[in-house]
Amino acid sequence: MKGQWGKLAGYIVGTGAVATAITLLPARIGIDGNGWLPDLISSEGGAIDDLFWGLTIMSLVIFAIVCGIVVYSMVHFRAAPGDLGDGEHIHGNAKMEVAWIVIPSIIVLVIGVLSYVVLQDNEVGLYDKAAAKKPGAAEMVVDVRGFSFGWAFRYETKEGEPLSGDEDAVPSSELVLPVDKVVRFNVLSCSGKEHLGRIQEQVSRELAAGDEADEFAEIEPGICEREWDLTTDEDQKAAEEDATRTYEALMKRQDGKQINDEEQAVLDEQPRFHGDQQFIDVNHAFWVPEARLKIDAISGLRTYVQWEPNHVTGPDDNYQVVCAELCGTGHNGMRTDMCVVDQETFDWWAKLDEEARRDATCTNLRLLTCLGGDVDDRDDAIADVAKLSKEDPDAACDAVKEKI
Amino acid sequence: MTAPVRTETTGMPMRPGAGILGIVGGWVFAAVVLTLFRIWSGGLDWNGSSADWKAALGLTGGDFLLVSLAGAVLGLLLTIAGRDAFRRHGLLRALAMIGVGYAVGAALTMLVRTAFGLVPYSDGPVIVFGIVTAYAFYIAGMGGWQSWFWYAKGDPTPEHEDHSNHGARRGWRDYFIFNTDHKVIGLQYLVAVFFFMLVGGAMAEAVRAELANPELQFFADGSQYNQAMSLHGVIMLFLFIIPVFAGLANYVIPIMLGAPDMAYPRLNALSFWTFVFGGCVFLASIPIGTFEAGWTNYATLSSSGGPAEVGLGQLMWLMGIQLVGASSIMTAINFIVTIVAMRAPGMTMWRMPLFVWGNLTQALLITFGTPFVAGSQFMVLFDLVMGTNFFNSMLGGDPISYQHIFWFYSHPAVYIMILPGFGLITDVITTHARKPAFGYRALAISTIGIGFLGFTVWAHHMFTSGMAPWLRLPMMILTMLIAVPTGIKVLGWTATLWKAKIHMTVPMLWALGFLFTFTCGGLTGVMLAAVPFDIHVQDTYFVVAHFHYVLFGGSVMTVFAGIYHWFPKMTGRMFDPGLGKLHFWLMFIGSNVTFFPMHWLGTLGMPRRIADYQELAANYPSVHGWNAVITIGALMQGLGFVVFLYNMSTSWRRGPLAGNNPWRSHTLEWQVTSPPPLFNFHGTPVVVGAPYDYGLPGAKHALLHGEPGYDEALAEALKRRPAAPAPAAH
Ligand code: HEM
Ligand SMILES: [Cu+2]
Ligand SMILES: [Cu+2]
Repeated sequence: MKGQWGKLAGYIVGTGAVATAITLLPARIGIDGNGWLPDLISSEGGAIDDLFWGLTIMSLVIFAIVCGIVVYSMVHFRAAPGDLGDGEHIHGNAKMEVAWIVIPSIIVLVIGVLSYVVLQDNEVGLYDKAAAKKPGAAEMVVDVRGFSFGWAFRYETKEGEPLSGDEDAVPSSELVLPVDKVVRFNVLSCSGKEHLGRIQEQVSRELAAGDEADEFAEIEPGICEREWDLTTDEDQKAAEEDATRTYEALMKRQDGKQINDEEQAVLDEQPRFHGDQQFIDVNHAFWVPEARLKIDAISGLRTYVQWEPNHVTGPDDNYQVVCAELCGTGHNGMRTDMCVVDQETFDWWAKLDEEARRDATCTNLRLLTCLGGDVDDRDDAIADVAKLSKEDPDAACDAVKEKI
Repeated sequence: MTAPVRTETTGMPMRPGAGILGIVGGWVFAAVVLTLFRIWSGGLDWNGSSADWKAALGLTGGDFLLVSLAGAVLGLLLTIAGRDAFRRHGLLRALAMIGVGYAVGAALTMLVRTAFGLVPYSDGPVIVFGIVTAYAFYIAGMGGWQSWFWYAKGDPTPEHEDHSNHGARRGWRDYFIFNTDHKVIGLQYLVAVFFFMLVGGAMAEAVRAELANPELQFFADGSQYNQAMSLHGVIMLFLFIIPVFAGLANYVIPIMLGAPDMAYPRLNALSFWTFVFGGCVFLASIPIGTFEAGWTNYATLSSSGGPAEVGLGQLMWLMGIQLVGASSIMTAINFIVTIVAMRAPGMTMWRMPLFVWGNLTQALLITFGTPFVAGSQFMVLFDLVMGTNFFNSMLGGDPISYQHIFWFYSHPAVYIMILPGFGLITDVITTHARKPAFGYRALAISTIGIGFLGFTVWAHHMFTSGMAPWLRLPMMILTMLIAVPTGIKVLGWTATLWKAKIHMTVPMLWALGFLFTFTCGGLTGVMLAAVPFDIHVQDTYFVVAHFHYVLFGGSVMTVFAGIYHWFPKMTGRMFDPGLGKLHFWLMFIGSNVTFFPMHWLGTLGMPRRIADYQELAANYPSVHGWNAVITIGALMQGLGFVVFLYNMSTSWRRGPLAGNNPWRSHTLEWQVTSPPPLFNFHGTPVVVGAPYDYGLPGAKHALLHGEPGYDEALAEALKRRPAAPAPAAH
């Protein structure tokens, strides 16, 4: 009997060894150095990675025990050829079953508590306004707009003042972050055309109501319209006219009057399904895999996530903001570059106007780090780097140092 | 009231009607084909103008001639071919009725619209009502409403057990009529779902062909990729995994219980034919561009015009899911009643085989859960077609509420997809390892426990959705707690193997393979429940790996175990064990090669549902290599499936005779002939002991009518449960 348990332990260790080898395979073959996980550029990610490795080890141990027993049974409890007998008549074992309830319960509760601690540490002041001044809480805000299919970023202080000092500054299409600052991302999915949709809806409701139009209260503008409206006055006028024309053509037909070709064309242009939905966007998800944190961008509903970039990205760190929620035809291409720069560079970058920002892309900002921290005139330097990277898209640090 | 009891097959003679039906059906058929072809080839852009509608009916210019001709020819052919067939309820009449029904529904809708001064034709309403009436007419064509109609009129209807006309063993024709024999329905389900799996599998291979290399090669654009991906998911979940258990359970469970049939045989047939129709609605959307929003069909991707306008395929999904869901609910109610009320004398709850327990719990989950998914899809439908604002944030709708309602069904749905498998695998392991189930009661109770907890964890799919943040803690803890009853099951199976006499038969191979792969999937499930980690990998290939390990490594492995286990019972013949083993190894190795590397891709940052990953591969070169490996694994699985189909179809006809009980099992379905007689038993059996008493000399689970000791056992059993409905003896 003794020998049996020793052998079983051997099987469990063996199964565990094989499983571990297979699981760690990519670290060897993967060549990427990291094995399972991408590079890490956020302070929050460390605890998440630890949690992940802890869970992986736990899973391997449990897998080894369960499957070790299965493998042992497969080898030692095989029926001999022609053996038509039965196995031992064992119905169960109450003690074992109780242990099998108590031990896993304890394990999962421990995992649960640990996970919750990590979650709390990573979200200081994110949902809890009272903790907004504690260390670890956000020091600046980035307004993120996801749309089909791209991203826009607007930079603000904690209090909501635009960092560039200009209310109407054009949002950046790449994500540039200062190092060692906790950033809160206010995430939203907006098409930018919500305003038009509301005007159309309003106009057709009022027209339909006729004399009693007063009874229709103004439809409240939603959060997208208030914060990310991209429509111009001409757009608005066109939308109003469009709604009026459509409504009048509809009425004419309904009354049985002859409609002309122009009106027919208006009606034919009606969308296939109910019209007022074409102005809103769909859900996306804001994710930087190297930061380990993501949150969905919901159509017209604000969501939050925060993290602290803790590495300046060099020329080889081609990290991107990725959309992780299926959003239609262009989903896989809904990516944009992101980079982390030192504080001075960031302060300089944040004040650039749209024109100047064209040179200060993430690709070029990453190359700029080759020159070390002390650049006197960033405007000149970035122009040089931009020229270089235009000539040689694969330019590396050596080239930058040499030429500039 | 002496009207003679009618028999269901004769039906109303339709001799004069057949010709007209044929011509109308032929016309509609030709017009539909023409229109579909136009849409498909891009020659016709549906925007609902009356000109479009005329073109669709083939009423313009040259089309009129073409369609008339085709209609006449087809009508003639159908009339000749169907002279007999149309007179009888059946598939041929039903097919013609689909065309007629659709035309009637569309015409009615357009009439009503005209009356209200709207453009007569509009995609949404016409297609929706067209499908509804087409369905009703199709069931009428099958003869499905007939006896209910008689009953409503007050006419006498045939006894529900009396399906002697329907299960009349006329060979293959039995399978194409509104047959109420549970064994026929079981096989109908199994054949139908494996057909659907073939389609779903082809989609998976297409997806893998695209992803083998970065950039787009196989598909023209992201939209096509999304269609194939969505179709794959929907077919595998709603047209394969859920109904395949309905098929297995239909065949096996009434016999396991000692009953002559299901409690509601007509409802049973209605569920099957409804399911087939719903499935075909999904498939019918392929030529006009299927749904693209994934199987989760999240609003507002599914419900908004959005920048990429929602296509007609979305309507097909919304209607198909209602039909498939309704079928699922009808089947579930049927199983609940059957299991509660149709057990043979002596079959106490604690003597039921675990497959029955799993099925009972699953049926309860379906009845409580499925209305929620139906509701969520109705809301999407109303947003699209009627302009309601359930999910339109611009006018006060809330897109996150979609996810709550959807997952309130769809998390329990993952247990709907696995609980019968959990039960089934216990039957297979005990039989082929010749040992009682370890902790039978614990296994049964943990099934119920999983079912109950399953309703409390839906929001673990929404950790990154931006829902109320406090919900994450309870959802995380409860999700992890599900691992406890699941662990009990794993303990039960492994401990059953201890000191057993394991026979490495083909079903047993699948069961053992299941233990490895399901354990892996369960463990990644616990990992995913840890919120901080899930936030990183949610919507990545890590999740894809997890749910394929539980769905493929869990459910599908049990399905194959069950198919091989009961194949000799269903056909009376033995499959080729060599080919069975080849199938197993191709699939087992293939699936691990496919799904295991997905974990690495996910943690590394590959999102799911993407058509291309060139940027990621540029940054992390191994991504390309692993994707290529995965595609090779997928091809192995495809090969395995072909071996399976070959083995099944040849062994069904030419395999060696298997005998009644080749596995020497104790449960009731093995005590009758293979295949079982029309009403399963000649006289009611009586259950006298536990289902898995292997190793106990002389142990018996049940006695058949006439076996020594039967009378005493029956008297004893009836003392305990006098109300047991004794099935009629035949
Ligand atoms: C040990 C038990 C299980 C646990 C703890 C568990 C946990 C989870 C979690 C937390 C997710 C969410 C991942 C995300 O963030 O998207 C998930 C996803 C999923 N699970 Fe499970 N699961 C278990 C068993 C099962 C079973 C038995 C099935 C089916 C047979 C299943 C099918 C799925 C599917 C299809 C998804 C993907 C949903 C999507 O489209 O996002 N799971 N599971
Ligand atoms: Cu996306
Ligand atoms: Cu779930």
